[in-house]
Amino acid sequence: MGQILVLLDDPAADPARLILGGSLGQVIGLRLPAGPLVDDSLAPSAGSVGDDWLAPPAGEYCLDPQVLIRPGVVAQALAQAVNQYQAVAVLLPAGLFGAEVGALLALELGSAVVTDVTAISAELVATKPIMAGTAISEVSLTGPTAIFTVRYAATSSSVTAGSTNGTDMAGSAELPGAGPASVTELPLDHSSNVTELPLDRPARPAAQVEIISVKPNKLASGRPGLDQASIIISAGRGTGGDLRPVELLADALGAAVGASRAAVDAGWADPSLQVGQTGKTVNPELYIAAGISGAIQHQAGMRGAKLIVAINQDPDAPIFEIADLGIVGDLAEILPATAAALRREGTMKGPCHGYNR
Amino acid sequence: MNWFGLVGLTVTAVGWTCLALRVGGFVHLFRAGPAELPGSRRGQPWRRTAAMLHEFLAHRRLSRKPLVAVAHWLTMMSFLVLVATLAQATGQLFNPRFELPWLGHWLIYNWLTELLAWAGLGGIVVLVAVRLWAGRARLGPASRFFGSHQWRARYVEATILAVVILVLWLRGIESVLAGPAGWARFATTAWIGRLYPPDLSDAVLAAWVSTLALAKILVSYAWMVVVSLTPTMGVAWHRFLAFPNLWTGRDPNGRPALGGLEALVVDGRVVDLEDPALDESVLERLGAGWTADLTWRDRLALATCTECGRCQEVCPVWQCVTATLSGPAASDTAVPPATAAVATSAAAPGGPAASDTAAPLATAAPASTTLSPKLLVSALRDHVFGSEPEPSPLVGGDSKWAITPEVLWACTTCGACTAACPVGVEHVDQIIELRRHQVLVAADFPAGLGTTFRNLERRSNPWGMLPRQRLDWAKGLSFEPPVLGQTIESLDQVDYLFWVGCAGAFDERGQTTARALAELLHQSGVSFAVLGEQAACCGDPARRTGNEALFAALASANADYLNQAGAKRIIVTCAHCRNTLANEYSQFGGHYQVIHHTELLADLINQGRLVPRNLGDGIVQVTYQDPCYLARHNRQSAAPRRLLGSIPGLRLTEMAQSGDRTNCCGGGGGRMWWEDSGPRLGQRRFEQAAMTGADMLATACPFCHIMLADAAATAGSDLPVRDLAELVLAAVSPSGQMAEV
Amino acid sequence: MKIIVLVKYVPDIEVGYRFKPDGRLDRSGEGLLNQLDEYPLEAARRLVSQVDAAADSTVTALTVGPDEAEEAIRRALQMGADRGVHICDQAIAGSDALGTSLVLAAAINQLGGADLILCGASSADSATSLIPVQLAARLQIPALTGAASLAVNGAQVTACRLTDNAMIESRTPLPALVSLTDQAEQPTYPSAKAVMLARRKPVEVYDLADLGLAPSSVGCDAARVKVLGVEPAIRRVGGRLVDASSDDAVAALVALLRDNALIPVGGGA
Repeated sequence: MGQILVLLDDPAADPARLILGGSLGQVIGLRLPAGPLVDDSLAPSAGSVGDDWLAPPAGEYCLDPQVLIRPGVVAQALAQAVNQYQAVAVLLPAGLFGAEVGALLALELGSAVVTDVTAISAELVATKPIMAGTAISEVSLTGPTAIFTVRYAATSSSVTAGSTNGTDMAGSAELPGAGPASVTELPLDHSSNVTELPLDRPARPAAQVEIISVKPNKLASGRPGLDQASIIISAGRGTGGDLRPVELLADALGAAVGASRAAVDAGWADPSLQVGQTGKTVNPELYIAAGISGAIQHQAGMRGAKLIVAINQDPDAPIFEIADLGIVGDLAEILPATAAALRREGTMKGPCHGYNR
Repeated sequence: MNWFGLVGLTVTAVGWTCLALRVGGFVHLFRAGPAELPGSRRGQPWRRTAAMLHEFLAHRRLSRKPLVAVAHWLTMMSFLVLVATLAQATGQLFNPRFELPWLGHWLIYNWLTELLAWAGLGGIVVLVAVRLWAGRARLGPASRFFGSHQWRARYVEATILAVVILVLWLRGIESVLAGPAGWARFATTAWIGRLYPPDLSDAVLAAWVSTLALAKILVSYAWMVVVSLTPTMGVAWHRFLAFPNLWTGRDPNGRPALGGLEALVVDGRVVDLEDPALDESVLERLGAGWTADLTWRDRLALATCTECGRCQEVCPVWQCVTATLSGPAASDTAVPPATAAVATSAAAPGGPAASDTAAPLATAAPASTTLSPKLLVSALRDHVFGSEPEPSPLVGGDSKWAITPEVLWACTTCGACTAACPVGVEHVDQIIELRRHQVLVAADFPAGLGTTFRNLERRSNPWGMLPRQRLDWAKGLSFEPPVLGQTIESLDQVDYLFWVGCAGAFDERGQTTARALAELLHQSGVSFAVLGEQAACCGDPARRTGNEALFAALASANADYLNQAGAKRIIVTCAHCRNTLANEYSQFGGHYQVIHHTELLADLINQGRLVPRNLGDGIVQVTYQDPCYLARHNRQSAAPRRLLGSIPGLRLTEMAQSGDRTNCCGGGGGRMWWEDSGPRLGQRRFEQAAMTGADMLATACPFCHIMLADAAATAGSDLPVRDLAELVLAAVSPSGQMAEV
Repeated sequence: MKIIVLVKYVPDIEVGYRFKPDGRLDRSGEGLLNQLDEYPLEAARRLVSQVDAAADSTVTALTVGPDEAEEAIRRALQMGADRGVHICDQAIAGSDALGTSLVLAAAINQLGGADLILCGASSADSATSLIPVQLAARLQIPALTGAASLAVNGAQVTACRLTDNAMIESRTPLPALVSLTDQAEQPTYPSAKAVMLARRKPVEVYDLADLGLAPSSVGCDAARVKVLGVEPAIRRVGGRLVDASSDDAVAALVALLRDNALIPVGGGA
């Protein structure tokens, strides 16, 4: 087996993705530099950026916007690393940034890239959901170096595969080819395996792209808007008008708050937050319907969500028919308890979603 | 030639000249409008004439307000007969003893004149009083006269009052001049003459006659000049224009223009949007987007509007807003933003269309963001008669008369306005024409509608559900309903096609209704089949929102499929499907007998094939929401009541607005499919239902069902909202219990 | 201004689709214009309407695909494109992103290039997001990707990219490529007039020979991605139901969040 390069978009590293790489061969973790990529000569005009720069909130790491908009620079650096390490595969974070880096790296290397894989076998056969998650394909790559963008979920389920025998959640899949045993037992010493990826100053045409401003992007509530949130938690009639549990979990997840028509009609939520036939149509990664029975009018606005969780007291609520996870119970207990559980998990690290929508 | 004669003849000449010029102007303006579909406005002339005369003599539509109807009838008749007194007065300028040749000595004419002068006096006094009372400022937008040009109306009323008084006064003096021989002719006015000192000389009396005659002539011709200079003064012009307007109504039998809509027509020809050879210039002129698109009949109708406000008074959108505005709010719901807009614009004096000083009320008109059919008609009329350097769009745009999109898209096409209009203005058709332009040409409409259109286009239903889910509603039935194309090949094998409709197929409440009806049909041995995945929306949401292209695609495909399957009798549970299939599919070669389920169930009960017993759950009092598209558009309000009456122990408690005067749930006209910050009609209607104290709110249309049940849930009320089919199913079941929804 | 909008014909996933025995998508089934591609079309329409009428702007909708893909072009023409270009060749079938971007680059060069190339951020079927940057690299023009809005000022294009917590505004000189997300201006439903007029707009069809490309450079054989097999995923309908009174609902929810990488770094606030 050859070397496997894993691009980490988080300096705190990503053990799960490293473990997945480990099942394939020896892993070299590559971290992006934390410092600014461009010097003043590349900034549009001195001073114009300064005040607008958004300092990431404490505890949150986000990719340098200068890197984010120039995936080609990362791809170039990776191509050099591939040559240097004679790598057989490159693993990149799933999402737009990872896909773009992969696409340009593939072009440089004359290789192919598979995006959003959920598992990779030792023979470098990748499992990838397609057709909006309604089908799973298995693909292999020819060419000198295989490039994948990896969904975090895959690594997680592969890690747990040995112990819990996997879950049947959509979006995760068992790891074909590589047995769980070869996965779970791979010890990693982060400090020795992770090195910084040296980025060159951007060449043309990437240099022609310049940032004008970076601004915080949150609503007055401090929450993201319905259009851009990866997670939406919507409140319905079942909240009885008390939206605090919904907001509590939303803030724990950095999620947007939505509402059903019933909640809007009752005056509990602003009409701009309405999801449904007569409100907004949303397609988030995850939609949590809290106290919403799921009339067809509401479903019309949210069934494009990749994952749906429903919490309702009524076990016959139609929303359960389309939910990936349905919870029959009191949202006023479950939502705050979940938020608390997430706080306890605070030490756990995941990939940054900041710029990867 | 005396001075009186000179002045009198001059004003006569001026008056008639102005009138002639204006009539010419009207004719020119009407003729400039595009043609209507040939025959659609002039076919069956005898029927039309009969219908017009019926309306004219019987005041059918005005009779909703009996006092006003009587007063108006008398005033109207007095105007017709008293025209002759104008000629009389003209003669009296030259000869105070002038009498109309032949007519003047005819006793019956004299009595008729006297009778109608007094009747006209009484009538106009009542009308003045009604306008003062119903238009009192305290009512604000709740008044039907809110936004009308009140001073124009008062001027017209004052003219009539002055004329009838002058006629009576003149006759009083004439009776003195005529001496005892004329007593019979002046039976009711001679006493006026006796008020004059008996020793007055004939010369003095003659001077009185000439003076009063001149006054009468001045009053009459001043009116003629004023109205000729003010073509937008429908309150005066309806005296003339109502006749041709009623005669050219869409329905030759004189019924309001409701039910099915007319096809899309440009220059008198139906436009086939599938025709690849369609001229590019025609594509610019679909629907009504500019003044030039308004047909001659549109223009005639706009000029006829008297601003009486009957349409405004019954408009559910306007009612909903004004009810929240004035009086103690029956609900604790927040005042919708549109309400505030009316309030502020009403308070701000000085406005666009206000050519007289009725200012504060009239100004709300075009600038308003709340739909009033009357103000919409006024705005269009101002477009037609106003002069602007550049033509401006009727909807949106910068014109001071432009109709705002909020107003245009607020309409639920419930038809209350059209049914109430005494002079035959066809508001719904007009609004649809405006919407057609917005959708087909301008592509400018509420964003939510775009989703509905896409869903209809891709999935053939407004919710965007998948065709393979079409039969989900039938899960849980006690039997397998035959499916056309699956279990049976032709509809000849069954009595009826049950057109389940999109709500019946996909909406939870609609599904319950569909299942209830299927069980009832099965129990009573009625053979029927349903459509499978080929079923598609009937097209009502597309047509009522102006998307004629989408409607034509859906309707022609459906009609072809139904014809091929041999459909003859179709049962529907949706009032909108019923209307569209029965009244609009003939435009696509589909001719069916479409039966609403309430009708069929009432018949089955009547025939003893279904035997209702007591309802369980302590349901005693039921109130019934008449769906607009059943009760008003299709005049079917008896069957549901017969059906309710057949359930022992059940009492129907009617809401204030019921039957063909029902109040809209807010779901029609495509309003089911998108939402804005406008008024919540369903909530208001639900409050009205709750106020009856009934144990249950029954309805017979899935749209009403959805809107009202949503409103019930919002209000936190436990008043159940059910379809009549569910009621009947419960009543025929041993327990009398209703199934859980 | 000369704008080329890349469009793709994709299967109507909700209605259903089939795969051929070789694992490739059977593109003859129910299909439609990739929904995300409506956003660049809308953006192009708006840009052209803003530019001075005399500036002689054209919007060309470009697609690579089988015969059926003309439907995507037709829809694009309804949505405001002036002209359609359809690259259709049996040999292209089975191409991976590298092959497709090669064909697109050749087609754009054949068309004489463009001031602005617009496309959707991803397609509904394969959702790779690889093509935009590969194409820009092949054309050697800068790319602004994942844009929620764009504006053209003179010879520069400005785009805003929205993330969960920041709005990044960047710009680049024309010619350039911009890919748009569904956060961009909502596409306008075309008027009947536009639909009618679209029927009269030209659609040019080219094959590989017209573009001067060898069949061996694209298609299945050249593709470095080989599909070994496709299976339907577990249907969503009837997901897992947990009763909070007996099961640990919180654990189930947290597990779902964790498994789908939806827990923010640091566990949130």
